[in-house]
Amino acid sequence: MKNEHLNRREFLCNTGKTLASVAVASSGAVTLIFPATGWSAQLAVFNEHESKTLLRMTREMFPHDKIEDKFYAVVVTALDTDASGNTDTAKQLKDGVANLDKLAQGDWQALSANKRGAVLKQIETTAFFNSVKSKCVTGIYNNKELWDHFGYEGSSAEHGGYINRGFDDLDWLPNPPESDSPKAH
Amino acid sequence: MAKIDFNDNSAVVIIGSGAGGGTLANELCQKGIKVILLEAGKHHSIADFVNDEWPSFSQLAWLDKRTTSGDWRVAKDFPNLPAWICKTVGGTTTHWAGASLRIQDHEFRAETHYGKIDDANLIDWPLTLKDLEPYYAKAEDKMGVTRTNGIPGLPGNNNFKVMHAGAKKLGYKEVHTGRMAINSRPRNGRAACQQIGFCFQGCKSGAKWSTLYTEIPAAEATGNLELRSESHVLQVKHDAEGSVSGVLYADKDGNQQLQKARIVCVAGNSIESPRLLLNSASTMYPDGLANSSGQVGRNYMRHTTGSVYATFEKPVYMYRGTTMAGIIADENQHDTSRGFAGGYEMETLSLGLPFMAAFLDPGASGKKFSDALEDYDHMAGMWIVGEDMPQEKNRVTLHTTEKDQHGQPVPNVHFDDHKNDIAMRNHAYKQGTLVYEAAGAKTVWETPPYPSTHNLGTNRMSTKASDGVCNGFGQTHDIKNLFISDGSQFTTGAAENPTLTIVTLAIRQADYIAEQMGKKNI
Repeated sequence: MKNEHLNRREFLCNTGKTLASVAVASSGAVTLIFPATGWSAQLAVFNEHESKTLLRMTREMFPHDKIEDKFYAVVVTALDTDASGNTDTAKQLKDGVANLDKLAQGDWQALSANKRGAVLKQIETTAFFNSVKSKCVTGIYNNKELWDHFGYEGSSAEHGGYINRGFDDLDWLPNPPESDSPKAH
Repeated sequence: MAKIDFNDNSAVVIIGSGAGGGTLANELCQKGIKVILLEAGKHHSIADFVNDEWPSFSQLAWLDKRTTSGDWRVAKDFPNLPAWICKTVGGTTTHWAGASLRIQDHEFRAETHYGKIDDANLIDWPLTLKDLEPYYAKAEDKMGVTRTNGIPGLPGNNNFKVMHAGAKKLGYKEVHTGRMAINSRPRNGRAACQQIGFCFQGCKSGAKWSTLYTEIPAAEATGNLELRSESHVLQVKHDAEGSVSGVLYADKDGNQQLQKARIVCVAGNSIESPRLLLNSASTMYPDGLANSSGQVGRNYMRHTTGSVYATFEKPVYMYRGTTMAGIIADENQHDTSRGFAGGYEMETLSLGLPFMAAFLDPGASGKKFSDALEDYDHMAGMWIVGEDMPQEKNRVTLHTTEKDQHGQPVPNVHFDDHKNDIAMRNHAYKQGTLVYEAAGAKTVWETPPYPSTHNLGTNRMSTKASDGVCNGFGQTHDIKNLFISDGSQFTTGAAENPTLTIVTLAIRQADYIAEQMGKKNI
């Protein structure tokens, strides 16, 4: 299966700096063979160093300790898909990785966490940083396989909504009086 | 459904099928008047709606190109998405949250009550609350607004419980589950709310009022309505005398059609409506239709919004149940001791995880941000809805170079916050924070305004023709058979969610149009 997560909406595409530019990202099914060594070899544009750098970068930008690398790899794969369809995008992303290493005076990944963060801080206004960030916002938080981790239950209509499934089950604060919050009819 | 010929010039053509256009269509059809309802978007059904934020956005939102300018943060974060409104049959009534509040008496007379405010283009409405009261009553009955007409309030969800507890500790008095056009019990053929939690994505139970499955089918049942979806109006045409005579639109295949009309009512929401009048410029009307005042497109208002989200030690699951589940109304008065004119409402709001990531702090990254999302299921949230100041420079204009898919100039939406807007927002952020801290918040986020959902004022009503575009019935000052039928006719924004007032004005406008037709004045 080809990855389909990034069905970009053309209307916002040309801004390059808006989160809404990734208006439609699908659930991003994790069909990758990961962390098997074949992962980066499957990518069309990024070499192993670039893909690992981007993987590290996405994790540092949106750190969630309990989320496995394979989910961040979904974001990198999506970036690779974009890059494979657009030479400008490919150049921006590959140059961005090279620039990270340049600022690190070596392999950015090999720096200490603090130093990696300091380098990212230096580039946070660049188009490269924004491209990666936008992709993370949908690639991570619109990935249905991660919703359970965040406690988000997704579509509810087919389950009859929450009228009988805990819409008012909060029990650690006093219940409002019925004048303010009537019982369900 | 009626079938009306392109050359038939006896019908009323209404552009837009949302709260204004959809309601007006039904009201006119009930009186035996023939109506052609043109809607740019597709005709979806409840069955099409999806409980999934990005796909739903793609299905319902108006995504034609727009540009932005000004100092509002939306221009930076969402430069091509100034507004979150809909292009679909039913318009933004598919997406709205359902809050149905009457504008207060003093708010209709903003200039009188607030006095002169620098850089604000304030005037009084050419009507009063008393004029609208009988129509508000009709609208509330039609829509089934809770806490009116003997309809009980909705049950509060977890998000409301948090807001209520904090608000009461803080001493707020008027805190309840609101006046909502969402059925708390079955009514008028519509089901009761199932607390599904995707109000913004189209209500799957039909408990929330939308013209899609109320006004429009009721109008069709009269045999007087012809609904044409995927019909995007490009220009309103006029005759040699200067009266409007029809509309030019692109049909679903992109072919241009000319539909003749006796009367044209523009209800495309406050960006498209002025854009259409401006795009209709002609030799006789070089500045656009109904624009002798120069006010078409000006005084764009979008409410002084913002959100406050807070995380707590224990779970909330704020997204379960109605999106707008309750209100704090204590700050909606005009009380200048707070440092600003006008007032604001605080209303619960929730976003699903995908949209929370996009909107909590647009452009943010890093540990603080991801920690907040890590606590997503422990989060509560509210939206601030306050009166913003009309300013002439805040306006919808035609882009000088960018064109849409039909070759028409795209709209640019310029907005600068007024200092009154900023003072109000800061006050509301502070009060919202205090509410959540009183309920035990761990962290609090002051979230900037989303792309605008309450777009108002760009074809405003005025007593004097030099101050605005239309009179108190939405009839344009310049062209007597051209009407404004949406929120763009609002003279000022008031603190209340606008849909109920848009519906109210549409009911009243239908009476006026029928009367004027009867007298052969139009």
